[in-house]
Amino acid sequence: MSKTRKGPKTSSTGDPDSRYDVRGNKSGQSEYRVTKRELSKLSNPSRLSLFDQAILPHLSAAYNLARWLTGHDQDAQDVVQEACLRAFRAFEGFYGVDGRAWFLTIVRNTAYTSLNKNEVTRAMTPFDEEIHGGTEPETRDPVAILRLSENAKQLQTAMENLPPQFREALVLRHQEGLSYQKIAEIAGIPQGTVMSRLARARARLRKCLIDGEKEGGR
Amino acid sequence: MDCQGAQELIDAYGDGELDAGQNIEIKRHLQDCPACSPIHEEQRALASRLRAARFEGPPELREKVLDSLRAEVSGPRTIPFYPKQRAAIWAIAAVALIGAFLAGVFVSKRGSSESDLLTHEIVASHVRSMMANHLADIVSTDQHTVKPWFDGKLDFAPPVVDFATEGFPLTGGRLDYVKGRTAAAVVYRHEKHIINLFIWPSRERRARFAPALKVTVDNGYHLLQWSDAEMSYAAVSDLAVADLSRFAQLAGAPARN
Repeated sequence: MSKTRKGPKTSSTGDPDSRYDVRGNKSGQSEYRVTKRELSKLSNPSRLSLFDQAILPHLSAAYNLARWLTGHDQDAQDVVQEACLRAFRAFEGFYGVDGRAWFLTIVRNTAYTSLNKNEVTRAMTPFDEEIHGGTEPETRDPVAILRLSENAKQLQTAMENLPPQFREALVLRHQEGLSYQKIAEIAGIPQGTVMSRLARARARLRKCLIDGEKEGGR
Repeated sequence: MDCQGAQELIDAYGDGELDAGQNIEIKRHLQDCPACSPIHEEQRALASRLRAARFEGPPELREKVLDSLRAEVSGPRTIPFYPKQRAAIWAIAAVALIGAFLAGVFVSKRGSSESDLLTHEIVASHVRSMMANHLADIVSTDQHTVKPWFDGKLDFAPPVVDFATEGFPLTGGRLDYVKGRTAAAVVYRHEKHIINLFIWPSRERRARFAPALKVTVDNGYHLLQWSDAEMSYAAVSDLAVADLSRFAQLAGAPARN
């Protein structure tokens, strides 16, 4: 068993999209490492306070992900609550790993469970990049996007039209500033798939934005 | 670097996933390429619009979460974080103590408090699995589909057997938590009733010397617990005890005495 490292190394998270954040070890995210044995020896209050320090700093990331996946504020809050409870119960399984990725994985799974509660069959159909993603991203027309009005509502509508797997990739990359590696870990897919999924997601988003602008302009 | 090379890497560049050498190369190319620099500009514009659309959770969410976690560890000793609330906590503590005492009086014959807690936890998981309608993460009546599904999700291999011919068809599987660790929940049906069979590795080696079947009733649900040398099992359902015992026997439980 490795030597115990104590205390949260908390530093400022900084710009969520910053380059440094993405590169693994030098990241600004807080880290909390305890060994398994240490955790199981803890009393409930110290377990709770450890959980508070190691996991709850990522609550806003959790809410954001849940909010985009469920599409509703109250549903997102419910998912976060449920995920926290699950995470706390499984807290002994968390040691020496990245707390944010670990927690977001639980949030993601909880969100999908709640999304699929009435559509069990669809949940069983695996997501297919080719089918859901459409064709390969076509040649870009950067000017078209740059000319668009900066309409927040439009972006949200465009995002909501994407399959959740695309939405979550965009959220984790651009709003939480996670690396391909972390996204791969959370979504349970290879890193190469993260990259192509992001490319497809952005292509679909661009298309939705441009189409939305046309419709809005009529 | 030419335009084609730059455009192949530009997504990874925007995502900060290139190594230092590639980074410099593409940066240089972007500086003086009129074709590629708008692509990068657009990429940044899209990224910043996405970033701006991030949802901030309600500020009270953290408190709500902490409240439910405190309820989870349930007990007055768990909340020394907020001194202001101490008085209220002592009041709750007093009520809880009296409650616990009264409960103790009424259920003192039901065994140790730890196993009571476990009973509650398992029954609560069972109820929640039906309430939230997330009975199964994997829906299949085929044991050869359900069993491999657990691989990689658990650090043990739970036995999954279909008892359809005996009247207890397998309907799926789910991950759950028992005693703070991940457990397999295998879901069966008997007529209209749902049975959750929780399986987790035994911690106590002595379970093997006392292979007893423990029968508990909690909130109208029947709970059968037993262990073998490897695993602990708990079958929960609103089925009659006789039917549930029949199921437990199929799943390897010792006979009822």
